[in-house]
This record gives sequence, C-alpha cells and structure tokens, in this order.
Amino acid sequence: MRKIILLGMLLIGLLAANNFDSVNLAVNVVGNTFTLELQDASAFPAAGAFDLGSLAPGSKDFPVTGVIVAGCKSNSGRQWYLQVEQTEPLSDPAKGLTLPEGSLLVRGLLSTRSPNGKNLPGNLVAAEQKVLSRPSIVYSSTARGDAGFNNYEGTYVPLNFGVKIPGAMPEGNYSGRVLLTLTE
Amino acid sequence: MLKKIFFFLIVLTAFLSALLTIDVQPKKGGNTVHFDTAVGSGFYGDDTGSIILVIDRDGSDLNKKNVYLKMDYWAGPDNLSLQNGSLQWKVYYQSGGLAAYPRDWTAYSVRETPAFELNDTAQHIEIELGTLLKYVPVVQPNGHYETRIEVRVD
Repeated sequence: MRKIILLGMLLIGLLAANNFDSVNLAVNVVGNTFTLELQDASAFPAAGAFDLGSLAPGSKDFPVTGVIVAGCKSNSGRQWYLQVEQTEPLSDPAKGLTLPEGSLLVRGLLSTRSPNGKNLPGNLVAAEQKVLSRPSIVYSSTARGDAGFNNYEGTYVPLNFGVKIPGAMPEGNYSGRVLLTLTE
Repeated sequence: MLKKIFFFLIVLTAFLSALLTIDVQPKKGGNTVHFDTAVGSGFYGDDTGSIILVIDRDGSDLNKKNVYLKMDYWAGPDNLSLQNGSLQWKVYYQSGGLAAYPRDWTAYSVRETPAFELNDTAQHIEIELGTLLKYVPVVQPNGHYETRIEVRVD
C-alpha cells in the first residue's frame, strides 16, 4: 500500500511540475572593431588642434584647453595600448626657434565619461610624463581589452597636455604635432 | 478491493492534475534558436529567431492564466555577456487564446516576469514569439553567446 501511495504521489508530482518548458537561444557575434576617435573636453569631435596658452619662460602649465579625450574601441578581446609621441617639435619657424624635446608633457586625468564616473578598468598613467619623439604608453587596457566596460561603449581616456618652458627660452609662437596611436 | 480503489483514486487524481502541458521550441526546428549578427547591428525578428509556444490545458488548470518568461544569464566567451535588455520578444501570432499581451517589443529579464495572460476558456493555445536582439555594440567581442528562455504557466 505504501508503495502505491508513493508511486501515486510521484506521478502527481511529476505531472503537476509540467507547467514550464524552455528553449535554448544562441547568438554568433562577428565583426572587427579597432578605432581611435579624438574628442575635446566637451565630447565634441576634436578640432585637430589645441592651444596651450601663453606661458612665461621658466613656467609650466596643464591648461584645460589642453584636454583631449581618446575614445578607444576594440572588440578583439586582447589587450591594447594608447600611445602618444611628438612627431613635430614645438617650434617657431619664423624665428627659427625650437623648444627642447621633453618640453611637451602629458598626464592622464582620473575623471572619465563612463557612467557614474567609474574609473577606467586598465592602467592610466596619471603622473606627468614627457612627450618624446618615440611612443610612450599613456593607457593600457585590461588583458581582455576592457571588454564589457562602459556598457560596451568603448573606453574614453582623458589626457591633459601641458608644456614646460625653459627659463632662457625667447618669446615666440611655438607649435608642433603629437600623434596618438592605438596598438595591440 | 480497497487497495484497487485507492490506487485508482490516486491515478485519477494524478491525471486530473495533469491537464496542463507546455511545449516551446524553435520555429525552424531543433533544440536551439540560432542566429548570427554583426557588431554595430542587431537581429530584427525573422523566422530564424521565432519561438513556437504551445499550451494545452483543461479542467481546473484553465484557472492557470499567467504566462511567465525568464531568461538565463548569457554565457559567452571569457564569461562575457551581451547587454541586459538587448534581447526582446514580441507576439507575432496567437491563436486567440490570449486575454492580454503587450503589442510592442518587450525585453527578456533574468528575473521571471509576467508576460501575457490566457483567457479562461482556451484549451489549446499556439503563440509565435519573435526575437529581437536590439543592438550589439561595436566593442562586443566576437564569439558564441548562449542563453535559455524559460516559459512557465501558473
């Protein structure tokens, strides 16, 4: 009798539990993205030039006008690096003057454009460093390329450029060129 | 004799309780709804993503009117997932057994969520659910992402 009751209860249980079913769903994602887009501090596309202002000889400054945000997007899932180098020195061609290499500076800003100001997941070089004629890393992504960060919108790295003027530097209007590179 | 009657009553009770069945499967057949999509785009419906849901009920189970949907967490490469809320469903077709259901696309949730309501009398209900993957961000790593859609009636 007990066996019959147990069997009946099992049968009831099995049949009563049949009020759900499921189906599997799979998505194959394909495509390649590896882009670098420069913006100004207001999230507008960078104009292609920024002004470090006027400085007296012997002074140093990181003006807000020297902020450039590098929008880095990669879906490789591999680590990538943001590098900066000076491809043309700061010079005044009219006067034949050139600031020495290392006068141009850069530092990473800790504030980000990600939701709630979340810190960048990779390694940002926040200390000032000289922008030289060879590439220097200013940001390294995580080993998985910052995958999933910023709600999959990419990593926006704010960089503040500055300049240090030697004490004996003659006055002039100095301009140069920097190159930002995204590399794996 | 008493044993036989008791057994009969148990079996009868079991069958009376077993008047609700649910079958959910891909419209295209097989066990898995499977589609491809490129980064920076999405999957906008189509037969490939359609799910056929068939509900049969009778007797006291006609009182079970609420249909719930639930989506498992995405399982992707390196434990990555697709964006929450990007996978959505919509009733493409129903055989007349639904008393209420949303007319627009609705996001699947990892929490079991009331989806639609069956009417009191429909014993056999067929529903086609369309699938929309709204947008795959351009930085979504390539790979195979899987989840599971669970349907429950209560």
